[in-house]
Amino acid sequence: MARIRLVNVTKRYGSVSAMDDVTLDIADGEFFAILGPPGAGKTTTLRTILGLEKPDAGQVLLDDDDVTAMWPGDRDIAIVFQNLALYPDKTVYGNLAFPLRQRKLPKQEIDERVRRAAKVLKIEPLLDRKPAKLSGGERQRVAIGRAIVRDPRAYLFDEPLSALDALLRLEMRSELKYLQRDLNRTLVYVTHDQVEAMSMADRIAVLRDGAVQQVATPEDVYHRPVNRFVATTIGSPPMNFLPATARLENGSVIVENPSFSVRSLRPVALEEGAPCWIGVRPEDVHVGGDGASIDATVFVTEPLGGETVVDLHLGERVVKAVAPPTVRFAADEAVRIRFDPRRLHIFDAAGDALASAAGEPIFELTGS
Amino acid sequence: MSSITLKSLSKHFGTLRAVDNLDLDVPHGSFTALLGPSGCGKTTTMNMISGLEQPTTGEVYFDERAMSGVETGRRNVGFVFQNYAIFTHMTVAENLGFGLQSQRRRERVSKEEIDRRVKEVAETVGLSSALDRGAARLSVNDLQKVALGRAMIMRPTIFLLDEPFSNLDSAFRAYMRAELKRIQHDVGQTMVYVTHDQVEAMGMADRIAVMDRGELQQYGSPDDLYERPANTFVARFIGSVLNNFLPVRYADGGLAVGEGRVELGDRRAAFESRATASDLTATIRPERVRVVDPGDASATIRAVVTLVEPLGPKDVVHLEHDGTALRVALPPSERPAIGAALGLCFDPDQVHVFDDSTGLAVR
Repeated sequence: MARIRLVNVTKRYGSVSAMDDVTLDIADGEFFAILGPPGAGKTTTLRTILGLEKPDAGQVLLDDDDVTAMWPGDRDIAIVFQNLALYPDKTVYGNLAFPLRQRKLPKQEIDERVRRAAKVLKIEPLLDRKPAKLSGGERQRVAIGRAIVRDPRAYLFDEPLSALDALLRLEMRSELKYLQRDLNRTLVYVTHDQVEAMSMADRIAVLRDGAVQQVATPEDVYHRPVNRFVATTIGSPPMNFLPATARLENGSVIVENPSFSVRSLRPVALEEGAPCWIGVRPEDVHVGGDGASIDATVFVTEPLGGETVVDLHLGERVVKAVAPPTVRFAADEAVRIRFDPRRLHIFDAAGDALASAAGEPIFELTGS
Repeated sequence: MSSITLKSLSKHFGTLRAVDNLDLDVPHGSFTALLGPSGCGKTTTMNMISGLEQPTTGEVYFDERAMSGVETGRRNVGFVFQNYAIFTHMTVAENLGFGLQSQRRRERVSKEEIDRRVKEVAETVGLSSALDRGAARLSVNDLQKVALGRAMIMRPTIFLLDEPFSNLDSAFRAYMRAELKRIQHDVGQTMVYVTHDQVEAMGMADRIAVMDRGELQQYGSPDDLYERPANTFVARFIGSVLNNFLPVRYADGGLAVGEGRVELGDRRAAFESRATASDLTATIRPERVRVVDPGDASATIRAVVTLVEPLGPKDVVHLEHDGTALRVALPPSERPAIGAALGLCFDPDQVHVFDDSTGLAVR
């Protein structure tokens, strides 16, 4: 069991900050995702928890112990990498048993642990096979099994699904979540794929350029992103951003776009004339229907099966809308759209969120 | 512009049938995707269209003209790859004009003509304001546009695109998908697009050829693949949420699904005329399952919630029914508790049935 804490950790390579004052508090038994694009510092963070990187500043704590200076082998944390290094000349059984044999555990205990891990991962029928005879998903399970047999305090997963085909990734996603629930151990999961982070994690830390942007539940990073970076990283297709200008009227703030305006019923930190952004997710843009009053032109229609993405020209900008699966429009068709005011966001010019409706009636839409 | 016809096309590497007996008609001016997992034969097929690979047997036609013996450079195809080789020491305009400038002497076009075509192409791909910018300073997004424009300016008969967006992050990919679809619509050029990503294929292409292990699985519109999958491979491969597969039995004009029944109506004839009584599998898309109270009489089956995946706009709720894992899509406002029982209602129109011995749809 382990609560994992990073306290003001900084790690530099020359002039590049791989980790810039990172503070994370990962609860015992939590499925915690670290999400960000390549170069965000995700893997460095993982390696710091494991002890492969020594921070330039800050502390790493496991439960209440400061392990910043502790040797990786003494931290009792297991890691599963993207590039699973299985021993090609050993059977699955041999691969699973290897870390235990190294620790010179009694033969019977090794056997028990190997069979228990194989059962959890549903690879019992494969124990006598060599890795070359396994599928990608089976190899990934063996790699995870090699971590499980050690029964560590916590697991670190570094993009374990990124080398797999899309379909297998979908299948493995739920399996990993079941697995973590059964193991009931802290699991830190690094990924650049927002769907993986959203679907599996209890909480997500979004990283950019070595700095933590937001730590929150999937619902909160989706509905209350702290800035445009998080709003763009989470959700697919990504959030739409429309440029606007603030106007003050009788003490309330109205943000105006050439096509529409939003009045905020709550204070928003914008001055008269300040440039800002209105954010709206594609599923909160409705094409046609009651109250649709904003003129737009269809750019393309993308039928995706379960839903249709409609790309619209609103003035100079392209806005994406998610519509029901049967909806089709011709290119250049003139349509009217509306936004759900209970789902709008306002960001300042620098991209920091000033207000997110997140289901609350804090905005009113007005024509322009 | 031209159509492409593949006739009994095969490419064998030793005992490996990379592409096996492929027939495909790519109409003039269409946007066709070759879709499948790695190793399905899609890139080999594209390489035979371009002439980079010679078929073991079969023939590639551009319009009526057989292409065997015609080298790649003379087929007039434009390429866009995942790894765009843009000259970073040149401006956008120089990169776009490079192909025209370096043509063989007798085909060379005037400087004025090059300028005119550079401007025209830049307008099409959305780079007009970036023409004088150094390529080294471009975003990944704009680099991909330069790669596209550089192929377009040569006015190829056919465009071949091999996973051009794999290097882009998901937000850029969503943006470029719409851009490319619109460019193809505007120029009306025949495009063949190779991808392993079903979202790209569905979103952009008019027609999709789904391949697996060198064989064509289905060739049709995005709606055909999603609403009328020809076999279980397509039913599984297409869709962003895993499809549901349930063992079923045919009996008296309907399907026995667990404790429930799905009436087949007019479709019963296809089941009664089957020669063998092999096992059947039914599919129904997670977002097409209607969730009702477990006590509701309209429920086809009852299942227990095992897991909830929150994706933002919707949840994927995992359930278990008699050892079979199922998924339904629900709005987050209706999120059930783990262990809760739900009634699942299967609308007969949304249920597809496949023969387990062949994997083919029964219809």
